[in-house]
Amino acid sequence: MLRRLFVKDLILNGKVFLGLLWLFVWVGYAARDLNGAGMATVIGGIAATLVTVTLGAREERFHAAAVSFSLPVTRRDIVRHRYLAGHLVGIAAFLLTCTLLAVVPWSKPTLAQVFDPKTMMFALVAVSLTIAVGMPFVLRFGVMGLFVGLGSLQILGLLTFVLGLAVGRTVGLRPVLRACERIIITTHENLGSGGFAVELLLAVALFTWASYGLSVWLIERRDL
Amino acid sequence: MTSVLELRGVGKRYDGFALDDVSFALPAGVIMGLIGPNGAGKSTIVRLILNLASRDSGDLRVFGLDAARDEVAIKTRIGFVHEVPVFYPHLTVAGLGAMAAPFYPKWDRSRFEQLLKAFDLPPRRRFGRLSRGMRTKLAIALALSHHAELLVLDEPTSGLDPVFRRELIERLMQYVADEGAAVLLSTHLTADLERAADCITFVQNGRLVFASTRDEVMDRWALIKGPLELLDAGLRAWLKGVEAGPLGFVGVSDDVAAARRRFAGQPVVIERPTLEDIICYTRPPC
Repeated sequence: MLRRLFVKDLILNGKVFLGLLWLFVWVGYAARDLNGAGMATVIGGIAATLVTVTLGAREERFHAAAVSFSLPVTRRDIVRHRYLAGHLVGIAAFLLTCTLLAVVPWSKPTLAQVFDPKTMMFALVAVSLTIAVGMPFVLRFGVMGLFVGLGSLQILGLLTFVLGLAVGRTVGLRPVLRACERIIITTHENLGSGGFAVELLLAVALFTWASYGLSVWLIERRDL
Repeated sequence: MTSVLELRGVGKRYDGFALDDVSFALPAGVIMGLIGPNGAGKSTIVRLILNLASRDSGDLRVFGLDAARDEVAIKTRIGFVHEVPVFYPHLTVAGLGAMAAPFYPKWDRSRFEQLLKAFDLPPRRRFGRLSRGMRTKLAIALALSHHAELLVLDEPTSGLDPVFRRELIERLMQYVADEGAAVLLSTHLTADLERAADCITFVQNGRLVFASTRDEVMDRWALIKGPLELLDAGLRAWLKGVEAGPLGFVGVSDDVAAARRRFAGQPVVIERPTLEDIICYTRPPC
């Protein structure tokens, strides 16, 4: 069933995926000026993931959801496919960017920088979190909803900052972030790099699983 | 006869509209017309069958399976046409076929190609460049190309020219004869059904008015025309629907025998109604 959904998305959105090629052209062009590979490769993964996450919203835009949902496939399968496809496309884009940076003769980052295990871990976490946060939002509010949500967070941050200036006290999140940082550093020190990586992956997997459950819940309650 | 589709006390509530306690059964090899005015609940019934909306009450079985729980097994055997067939505008006619084919184990590519030819649909034409009628034809071609045992067609004839409407009805009758399939044809163009439908299910304001064979409906219902002097409160209450004009009244009754007895010896004309007469005269007052 998932294979059929992959084929369907490829047929319907082939040009959208082809559009991602521009990203790799940019990476190839910018390789001479990059100080490190991390940012380019991770952004590559996230961009490709976002494209996959928004495919459902594209169906809404063309009012094609009724036809898609009338095909012999459950809504749970559709959501499962989107999560899986998001991970596959995101990781593939990340690896492609790494490969590009490794083979382009004028590339500035070294091989060790390109294939750095920490960057790989960061990319995997970034791809998973992009899907886990973005998918329920897109399913419930569409792509505009996702951008409105991100924009609202920006405005909320700005308002908090202005309010802090007005009352003469900072109400920033710095203490909270510091506490989180301390927890992460302590955990890292206690578990070592391997243990920390396993714990991080487990946490991300748990978050993704919760997000998947929410997405299924949202889509199964939707009347067309 | 085994029922391909069976609704028992099905209900669905929206803001400002409720489908309430709808029950009917569609046997194999039968074309059923689902009729009613706009907003009666026809499309809601279709959406519930295809599990595009969740029912609030009742039991809905297709091929003996629960429409919500066993939707993949059911939808594999259903061909559907939506009221407004919309899809990605950049996708070609052939591309849409290629997209749908993997989902249906019995997909018949040669039949799909034959239907495209018969319907004058250019395979390389983009969906966005098809007229409303051509989009409907494409949806019909898709529905008929995987040997579906049940066709669920929501207003498939609206937007089609009379020649193709006639051709479509003939194709459906042929399909039922060849495949032994059942057809649920939701429409407000009742003339099509008077030729093709074996059964008629009439819904109004979300409620079932009747579900019966076409012959029973036509034999049982009566169109009654008479002078205004006869139209008292008792007669208004007895008729299922009535309209009064300067020249007299026209109404319908669902008991032609009782109508003949009631109006014996009176200056009243009793005729066989069309389905359109039944829909028009039974509509609730504005």
